[in-house]
Amino acid sequence: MARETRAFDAVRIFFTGVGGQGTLLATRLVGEAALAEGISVTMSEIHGMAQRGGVVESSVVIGNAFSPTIPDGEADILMAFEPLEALRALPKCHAQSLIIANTAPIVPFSVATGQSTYPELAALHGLIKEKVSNLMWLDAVELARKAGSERASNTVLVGVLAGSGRLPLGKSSWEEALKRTLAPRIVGINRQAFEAGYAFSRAGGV
Amino acid sequence: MFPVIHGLSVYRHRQHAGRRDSALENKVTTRQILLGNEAIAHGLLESACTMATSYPGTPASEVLGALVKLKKQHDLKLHLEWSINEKVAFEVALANSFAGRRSAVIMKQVGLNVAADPLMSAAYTGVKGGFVVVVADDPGPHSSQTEQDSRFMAMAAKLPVLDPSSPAEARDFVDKAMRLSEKYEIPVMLRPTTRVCHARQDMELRSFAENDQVPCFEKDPGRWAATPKFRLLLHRQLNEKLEKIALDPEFSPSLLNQKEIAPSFQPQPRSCIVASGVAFAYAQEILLDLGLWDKIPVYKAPMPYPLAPAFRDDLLALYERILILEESYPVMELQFQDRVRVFGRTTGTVPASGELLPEVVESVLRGFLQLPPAPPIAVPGSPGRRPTLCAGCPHRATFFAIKKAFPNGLYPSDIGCYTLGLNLGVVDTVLCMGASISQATGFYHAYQAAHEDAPAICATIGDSTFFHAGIPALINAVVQGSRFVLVILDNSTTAMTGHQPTPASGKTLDGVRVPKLSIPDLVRACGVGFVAEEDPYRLEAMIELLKKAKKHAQARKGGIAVVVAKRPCLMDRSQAESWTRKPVGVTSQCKGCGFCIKQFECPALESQGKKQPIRIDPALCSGCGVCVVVCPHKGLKRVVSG
Repeated sequence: MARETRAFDAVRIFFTGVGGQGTLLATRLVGEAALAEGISVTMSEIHGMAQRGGVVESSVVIGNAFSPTIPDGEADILMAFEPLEALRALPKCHAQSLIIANTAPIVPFSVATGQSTYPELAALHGLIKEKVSNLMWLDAVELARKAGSERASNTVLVGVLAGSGRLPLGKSSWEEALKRTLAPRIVGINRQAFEAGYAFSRAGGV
Repeated sequence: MFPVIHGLSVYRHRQHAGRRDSALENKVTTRQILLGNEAIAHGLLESACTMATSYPGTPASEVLGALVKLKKQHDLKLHLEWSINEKVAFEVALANSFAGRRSAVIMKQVGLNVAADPLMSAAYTGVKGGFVVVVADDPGPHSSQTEQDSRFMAMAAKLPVLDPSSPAEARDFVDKAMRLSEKYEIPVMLRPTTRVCHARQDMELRSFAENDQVPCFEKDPGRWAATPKFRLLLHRQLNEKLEKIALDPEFSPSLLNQKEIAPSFQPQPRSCIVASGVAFAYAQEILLDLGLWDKIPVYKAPMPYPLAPAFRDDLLALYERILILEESYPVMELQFQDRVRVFGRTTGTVPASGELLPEVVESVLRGFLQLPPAPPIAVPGSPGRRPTLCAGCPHRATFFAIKKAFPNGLYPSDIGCYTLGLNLGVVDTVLCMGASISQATGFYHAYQAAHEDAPAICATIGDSTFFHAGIPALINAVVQGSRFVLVILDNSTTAMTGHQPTPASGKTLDGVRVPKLSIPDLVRACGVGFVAEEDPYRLEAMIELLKKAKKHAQARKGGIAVVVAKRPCLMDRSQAESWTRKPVGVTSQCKGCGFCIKQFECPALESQGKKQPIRIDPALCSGCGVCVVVCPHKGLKRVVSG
């Protein structure tokens, strides 16, 4: 179907992670790519404790919508930058959602001080898979390291999203977004991280 | 392939289409994604604002930040300032308006409490140049002490308030507010919420208006310096203005789905919805989802106060049941004065606390429309994540030192990043800006007056908070003969809200050099006899100094002691890196006792299980080396490179 007449209303993407992981930058990359493609976009983020180890949630709604806030059960895509946060945000998903989850854990203080335990990775995977079968489960930090910088794991995950084919956004729009959003000196390394995620996704997410 | 949710056709715009917005004369330039707060900044410049003042506070902080950037980019002629507090900010901008120039003051909701005095009075005097009071509310609350509704403050002051539902609308409402303010010579409040301030949306950029308003203050003592007798006249005038404003069609509620509502459809009993702000956006989306947008009349109120009495009477005549959706207190609802047929927060139909999230609005709508509730969504149990001070944060070191010097102390604290000292057990009270010092005074006299032994009191306050509201409290503490130790956590910035400058920075937003205030000098001028400064990274020296200060506070001829814990915020990139990074390693002495993790809580320290030596995360460790002194077992040491 020609892009101009493709019948879609809105794609809702929910982002979750821990302060310091670059979720808000990833959110902006997706928004800028939509703008570059000429599609309306609304986004929402909760600041305040973002830099300090708390949960950071944001959202992007691409297409025609009135509110950027994504209710429970209505995220078409969940971008989880941390496996425990993937589980916590699971209520946002519906059965057909796509989940892109980074498997590198960030252990909360309540676990470090012995007040609670961090679930086994396999158990987390099982709980998520039980509700949403469409799951890309990857160590984005490892992929980012191979691409040149551990810090670019957020861009790896954006690359995975771009490669999933779930968004009506062309490669040139993503390139434009990288250039618009990032400082020139870090565009190169982030392009490599993006490509690593993109290739991973295109290879079937395994 | 793509989920079709409402079956609406996709809205696609053309970039650089040069479309003219008929409602506004400004020329369209280009399209950009703007944060709600940036959109408000654009709105101010499009409407020829000549002065904006603010005190930072989430979720309002980015408005002035965006103005500063735009001023530089476009070389604009306007005065911007981070004022010392909201009251001062309000009064500075108001004077500019008295001089006939368009002005704005920007703050968060609790900031308006501080500025309540000029707010109430300015309603009576009125204004000359358009005067917009931007107050960001935080239903939830996400990063505030309260989820109070600033629209109620507008109502208490008898001022009109506009309630935008999206970033684009917030920008458009600035212009409306500016014109309304000028037309009736009255301050106008623009009240966005967190979901508007921190949403982003693509919009056409418009060019900024010419701003060449010549300052001209016309003396009129009966108005600008009115005595109580004249104040009564001003009050009457204010009432007349409000009556006219309520009838102004540009700001009246409108029936949003008039075209869609099927004329033959008459739900029984006849019901309608009145909504404002973000709750309106949610309601619209949910009604579309439920296939009810063409069945239930929905009125949108851009100006929740003042509502025209005729609007209320018409609705009560037309409908048997009216649901009011608004955040976060019943402002429109209380103007309806009908507790039988009007449903909302006062009837328990809408929850009386908490953010109106889409899920909540859906449940309210389903209840009101007598639909079955939405199927519940299971929430998995998982360990919580609480925020903590950053790795290497100097506040953490200071708090650890306080714990050592004041075991079982009483710890009043204040508003800022250091509120997170809660995790370390060194923050007992957090009330509002500056209260740490006044509460330390109150606690001291509570024990003193009862002839009871007081616990050693050690209060903490940040540098910016000290300037904001701490100075009068400190003077009061001194002249009331109180005894405690006050630690001023001086990281040379307003860290929590994004590193805005403080009066100790020595320059304005534009980089103009101004006198640099010294905190120790100020403290001495407040009458404090014991003032000393120390670097919290020198942990042992800091503990010793605090013990000395405590002695002074308890000595017969002593008094209040102030310790300034001085070290720049690590996250403030505008300040030079002030420490040498020295990596820390774990020695064979570490038996995994967990003391450092539990008592110091640095995120770079990782437990590897009970009785296992801890691990240091090299990506997080700042190399401050404070933990080396914290460990009682010599389990950590500086790693010598090479």
